[in-house]
Amino acid sequence: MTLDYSLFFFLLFGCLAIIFALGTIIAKKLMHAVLALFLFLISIALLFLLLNNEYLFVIQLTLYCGGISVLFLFATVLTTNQHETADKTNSYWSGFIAFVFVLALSLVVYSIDWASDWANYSLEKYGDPSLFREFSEQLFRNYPYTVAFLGLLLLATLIGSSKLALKEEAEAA
Amino acid sequence: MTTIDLPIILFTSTALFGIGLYGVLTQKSAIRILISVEILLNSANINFVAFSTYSEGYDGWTMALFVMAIAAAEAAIGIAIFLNVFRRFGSVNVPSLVGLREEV
Repeated sequence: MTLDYSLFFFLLFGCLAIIFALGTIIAKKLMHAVLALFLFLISIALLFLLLNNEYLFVIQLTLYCGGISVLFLFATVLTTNQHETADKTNSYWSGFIAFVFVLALSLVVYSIDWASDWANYSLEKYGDPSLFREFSEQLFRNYPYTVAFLGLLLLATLIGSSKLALKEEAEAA
Repeated sequence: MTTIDLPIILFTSTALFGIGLYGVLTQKSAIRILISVEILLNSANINFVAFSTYSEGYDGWTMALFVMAIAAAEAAIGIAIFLNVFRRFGSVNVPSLVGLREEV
């Protein structure tokens, strides 16, 4: 059964996601950072698949790996100059703050008694094809206005970013 | 039933959140800061999906979907703004954008 390997694959793709996320920070060239981001997003998509959500897996692949990666690629091409470096500011204190934050969150996760608090919850429906249909129904039944608002928001984003680009062209001309 | 324990998922997303936070705090290039913000949002998404999967509800999945849409909008607007910044200042290094602080 494939389910027996789910933990192994989760650990594999989780570690890969962490490595690629570190790669976006460590990479000297911005192009390499964008490539690492692309691989990171694919790892996250596979984690979604392992967490029993094919819907978000597909959305993650199309929207993030397909759309946002290319957007960052264009931004890299359009904004890179010779003086581009991977300089960092206040590395020491920022690293300390991030470390303390991760430590605190990890302590919170560790301190919760998962065995008793979450004993009633299990993945009984794991791999059930009807999950997808139920999710879609719940999405449009419980959150119809939010979905409509998101559509409006994305439309406003489209118009706004076009206007930002066109305004500068008009000034240049 | 799967053998993935919830704490393993949460520790993974915590580590990713820490990496994203470090990136946001330390990077100078605005594009790199946006990349780190994407890492932050994705680590939050893992938590949403994990809790939703374990609690047999659909709210977490829905929230993850909304977060994705918001992240796409944020990336598009952010990159449009920083492209304009690059045209005006010739650089997207955030520490060099001091026009509001000092008299140019």
